[in-house]
Amino acid sequence: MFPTPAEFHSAMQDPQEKPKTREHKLFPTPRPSVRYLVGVVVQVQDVRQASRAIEELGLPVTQLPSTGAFLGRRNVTLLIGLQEGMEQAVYDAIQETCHQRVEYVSTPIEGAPMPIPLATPITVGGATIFTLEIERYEEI
Amino acid sequence: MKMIVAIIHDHDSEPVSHALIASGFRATRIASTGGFLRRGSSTLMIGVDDEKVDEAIQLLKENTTATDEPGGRRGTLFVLDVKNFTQI
Repeated sequence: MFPTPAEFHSAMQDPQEKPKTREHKLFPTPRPSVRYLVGVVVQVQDVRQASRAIEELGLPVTQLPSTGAFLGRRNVTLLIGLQEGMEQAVYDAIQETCHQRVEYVSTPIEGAPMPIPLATPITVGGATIFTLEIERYEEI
Repeated sequence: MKMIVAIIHDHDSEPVSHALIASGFRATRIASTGGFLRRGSSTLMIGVDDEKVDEAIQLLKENTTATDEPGGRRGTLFVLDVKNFTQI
């Protein structure tokens, strides 16, 4: 006997086949106690990659919009809670994703009779990292 | 002197700041994003005397609401030691 179309169809389908959805890694709970609070000042261009790289390590990242004092450029301050032993992994992730860039700022030439703008190259730093020790950490 | 850095939900920031002010704590609120909430969150910086840390944390616990997110976390608190605190 030939199978009916419905039987044929179900036989052709692989019962092992899993639904093709992307698996999202949830942050493991409960997490080990956090020892350090890391503040990272990052250029806007690098924020996405940097926070993704850190989140891939299983650490939640909080972003605060901020402004640099010298050039007044917009940047983002990332707050990360760190367990003991995770420091180097986070520093490496930041190093890989945040780059130094040369930007040009127009400055008037001093002593010139007319204000002639001069493009001055300035290296805008990769990232600034502050690691602070935490006395107490709580999740509520 | 200690500084509490508290990352909480946006919708909790209003009742929490009111409660802190009512109890005589001074707090600075910074709008932030991302983290475990993936939406708007508020970061509070609270300067607290050593012996009042527990009181402040209690206030934060009482004034945050439970959510449906994994783990049901309402906020994250970091307590940092402050070497020097000056108000001018």
